[in-house]
This record gives sequence, structure tokens and C-alpha cells, in this order.
Amino acid sequence: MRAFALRRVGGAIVTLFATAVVSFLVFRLLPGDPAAVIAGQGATEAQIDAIRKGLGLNGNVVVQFVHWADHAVHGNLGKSVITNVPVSTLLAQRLPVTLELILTSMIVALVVAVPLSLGALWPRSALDRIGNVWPVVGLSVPVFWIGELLILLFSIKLQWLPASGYVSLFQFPLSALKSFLLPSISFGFYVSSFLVQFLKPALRDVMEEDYIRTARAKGLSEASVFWHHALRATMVPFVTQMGILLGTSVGATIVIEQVFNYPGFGNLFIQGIISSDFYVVQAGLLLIVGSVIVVNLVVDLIFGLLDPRVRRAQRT
Amino acid sequence: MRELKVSFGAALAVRGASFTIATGEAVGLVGESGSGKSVTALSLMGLLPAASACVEALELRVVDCDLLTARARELQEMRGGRAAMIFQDPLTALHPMKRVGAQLGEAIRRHSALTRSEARARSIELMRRVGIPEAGSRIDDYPHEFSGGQRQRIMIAMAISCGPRLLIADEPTTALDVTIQAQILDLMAELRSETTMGLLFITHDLGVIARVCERVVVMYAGRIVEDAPVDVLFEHPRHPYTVGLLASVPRIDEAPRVVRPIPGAALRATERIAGCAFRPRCPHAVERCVEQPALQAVGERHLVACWRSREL
Repeated sequence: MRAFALRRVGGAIVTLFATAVVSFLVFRLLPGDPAAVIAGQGATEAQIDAIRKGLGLNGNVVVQFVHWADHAVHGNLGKSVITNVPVSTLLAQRLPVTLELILTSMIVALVVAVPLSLGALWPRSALDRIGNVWPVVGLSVPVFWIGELLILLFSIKLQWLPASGYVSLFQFPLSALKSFLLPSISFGFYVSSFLVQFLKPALRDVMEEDYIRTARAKGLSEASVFWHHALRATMVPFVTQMGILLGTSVGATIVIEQVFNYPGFGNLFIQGIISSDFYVVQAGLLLIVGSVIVVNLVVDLIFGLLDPRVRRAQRT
Repeated sequence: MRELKVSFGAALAVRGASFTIATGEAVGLVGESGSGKSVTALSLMGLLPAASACVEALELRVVDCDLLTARARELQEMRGGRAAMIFQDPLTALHPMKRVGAQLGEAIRRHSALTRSEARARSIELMRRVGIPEAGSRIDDYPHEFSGGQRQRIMIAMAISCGPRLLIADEPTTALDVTIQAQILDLMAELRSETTMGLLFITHDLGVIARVCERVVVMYAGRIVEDAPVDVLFEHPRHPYTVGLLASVPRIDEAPRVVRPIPGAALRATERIAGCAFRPRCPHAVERCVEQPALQAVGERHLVACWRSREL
């Protein structure tokens, strides 16, 4: 188990390093010189050169990368080219906002997806039918469109909820709940579609397993069959899917933050791209990929706890 | 069981089958794949999926439980208690993520008032009884840590844990090696000799039947075609299908690779046919066979469903 964990962590570090290299190179290869942008029109070559030097963009690309990477592992991700604020400070401000949004969206998604997935237990029931249609709708309708519709209805027409803005969940829980509701429902609906699409067939497959028939043949009630036998087996695909969703949601919330004008990480990232703020974008890319890697790692380790067969495979 | 009929949509799995198992009797149910053996067994335990299977019968009774009227509660009392079942594939029949001790204990506690630790002690005792070495230390292992034969032994332990009056075994040795098959059959015969447990043994292997059962019921296309004591059936089969089935068994005293299959193919579940379903493949078919022959006594405890059983 320890060797397995070490191997996985090693793999994660290699992937992160590759991401760092790519995210670093992408900006060097793109057209457009950030130094020229900052210097503004009519600046002389010498002025631009000076700015370039100040940004750490002069000299060999490899030297530049080593310089940046050395700082990065020490927690210094550079400064924003535009505002001159350290990127780490910006992330510390913006990331919690996004994480709160992800948390509330996941709660919405689970509250909807788990009951809908249970429709697999009663084939051809109303719940079963709704659960079949749900993902089709949720995955074919764009997230931003749902968001706009919700704003139109609840903010503009009914004026019940704010259309944009952010209130900290920890400082003002009640008004925060109001401001979180629409974006969480928009994103949560999308996530719930993924979950239902995956979880429901998983549960249906488990219910057709031979060991479920054995459990019934023992004389267990349908409730016991579900709680003691089916649930455990369904947890494995469930954790996988939750992991994938959590890992990708740091990147996926970018759209939602744009729609609801949320001062989160996604907002920071988009602004960074638009204004060629490359230190911000580099750090952002690392974070998006890093969150996927970390969650996958955690999921792999949880597998061992859930499934004894995986535990043995992990040992060897 | 009288006139059992089971269908899945347009597919007729069982088309009207009747037989009785006396207390303590070991009955073999034979037939080729798709003849309705397993579906019959599952319907006796009420284990067919309610959403897709349609079960009808004039009478369907297992150890005092009337399956036609029983509520879920009564069915659950019967399953694993008075009647138990073991399945074809021991590799998938146990929950892969639960310790075997927990799976055994659960069956025991469902039908008794034993405490957790008493059930555990009983589980160890049962595992020892079915021949798992070092049962005491293996009780906390997971199914994948046992061999196929051992897993079937554990299934048997689970089945006999509450002293059932009927054990239904659905091809319990088909997925196992020949040597392991023999061991499992010996174990089952041994367990039966100690109790008055009845047995319904489902297989397509006539050799296995001869070894464990006292009576044989032959099934073809969802109907019973012959029902007789083992020695009678092997010596004097009366239904043309049984005759063909016995002739198709490869014999050790003949040249190898001599296989005498029954010509033609079995009736598919979605096919309908008037009268005897074996008619198209039967060498003795006559005009009258377009009417369904009833199961009739042709000798002591010997029933055959064939118009020509008396002349052939």
C-alpha cells in the first residue's frame, strides 16, 4: 500500500512538472509580447527591453523556466503584470470563492442526483423515467444558458435573488446563500446530469449481479439488500465519478463565474488570458491540472479502502 | 408445482411444468440449455425479476410457502430459511467486498436469534463442516482469497446454515474442474445423508444426476417430458427425447469422439408450436403429436408425456 501510494505520488509530480513546462511554453510561443503591451504605443525598443528584463522575460527560454520553476516551488509564482500583486496573493483571494461555489454546487448536484439514481431500483417507475431523461437535458443544455435563464426569471422578472455578486459564506451566511443559489443551481444541474448518467446504470448493473441474487436468496429484505450489499458495490463507481467531477470543476466553474460575474478563480484566469498576464495564467493552468491530479490520487487511494481486491493489487 | 408457466415478454421460458418433491427426496432436473430449468428453480424461490418475468401456475408451493399468494415478508422468511439455493458460478455469487464471515453470519442471523458472536462461531463451524481448512482464521478473508471450489463450499455452508428442508442447486458444479466437481458432489451427498433435506439438483449432466439423485425430471422446451426414478430412467427411458439424450452421452467403452447428437435444434423460447415441442426432431412423430400429450403414468412412479410411450 505504501509503495503503491509512493508510486502514485511520483507519477503525480511528473505530470505536474510536464504541465508546468507546457503552460510555460504556451505563452512564449503565442504571438504578442506582454512587454510591448505594458509599454504601450510609441515606446522605444530600449524601454520595452527594460520592461522585459523587469518581468524576467529576457534571455534563454530554458534559463527563464528554471528561474520561474525555482521560485514556484518556493511559493513565489511571480507578480501580476497588470496589478503588480503577487499571484499567490491573488489566488488566496480568489480560490476560496470558487471552492465555496463548487461546494454548494456539489451539494445541489448530490441532493438531486442520488434520489434520481435510486430510480434504478424500481424499473419503469416515474422516478426511473425522470432519471432517464434528466441527463439528456442536463448535458445538452449549455451551463451558461441555464444561468442566463435563471437570472431572467428570478432576478429580473421576480426580483427574488441577486443576478451577480459574491457574499462570503462564512461572513454573511444568509445573504451568501441567496447569492450562491442561482450559480449553484446552474452548475449543480450540470453536475447532477453527469452523476445520474453514471450512477444510475452503475446501480442497475449492481442490482443484476449474482451476489445480489445471493443476498435475496438468503431471505434479506429489499432494504437490506440495498443498504448492505448494493450500496457498497456502487460506491466504487460513485467515488470515481465524484473524483472526476471535483477535479474538473475548478476549470468548469470558469463559465459560471463569467455569467454571474463572480470574483472567483475563473474570473481571475479569464482576465489573465485577455490581458496577457502570463504569470497568472501559468499559475492558473497549474492549478487546474493540479486539482485533477490531486483528486485522482485521492480517489485511487480511496479505492483500496472500498474494494479489497484493489487493496491486494495495490500491495503488489 | 402444477402447470408452471413463465414468460419474459414474447419469450416463453416455462410452458406448463408440474412436479413434486417429497420430503427428503433428491430430484434431478435435466434438460439442455434454454429448456427452462434455471427459470423453474428461480421461480420456486421467487427470485425472478418481478418487472420482466410473468409467472403463472395452478399451484406453486415450496415448504409450506405458497408463492402465488405469499407477501414479500413470507417469501423472505422462506428464502434461506426453509428453502435455500446455490448457484452455478461461485466466483460471482459471493459479494466481492464483504468478508465471507460477514456473509455467512448475515444469513444465520436473518433466520435465527443468535447474537453476532454466536453467529460467528456457527459460521466457523459451518465452514469447517463443508471442508474449509483452518476455518477459524479464514473467516475474515474475502471471497477472492478462496479457490472456486472453496467458494462453492462457502455457498453450500450458507445454504445449509439454517437447516433448510429443501435445497435447490442450480448447476452447482458446472463452473468447476472435474476433480473439484466430484468433491462438491460428495459433500452434498454427505450433507444429505445427515439430514432429511430435500434436494432439487439442476444440471445438464446425466452422470451427475446418477450420482446424487433418486429421481429424475426431464425438461424439454419448458415442459416436463419424463419423470422417473433414476435407475428406471437410465434402463428404460420412454420418451424419445430422453432416449436421444441418453444416447448422446459419450461412453467410455466406445471409440473416442463418437458423439450421437439429437438431430435438429431445440425450440427457441420465442417459437410457438402446436402439440409436442419435440415433434420436429422426433423419429417417432405421428399425426397425433400436434396435440399436446399429458404426463401419464406408464409404470410405478414413472410419468411420460408422449402419445406413443406405450408402444415404443
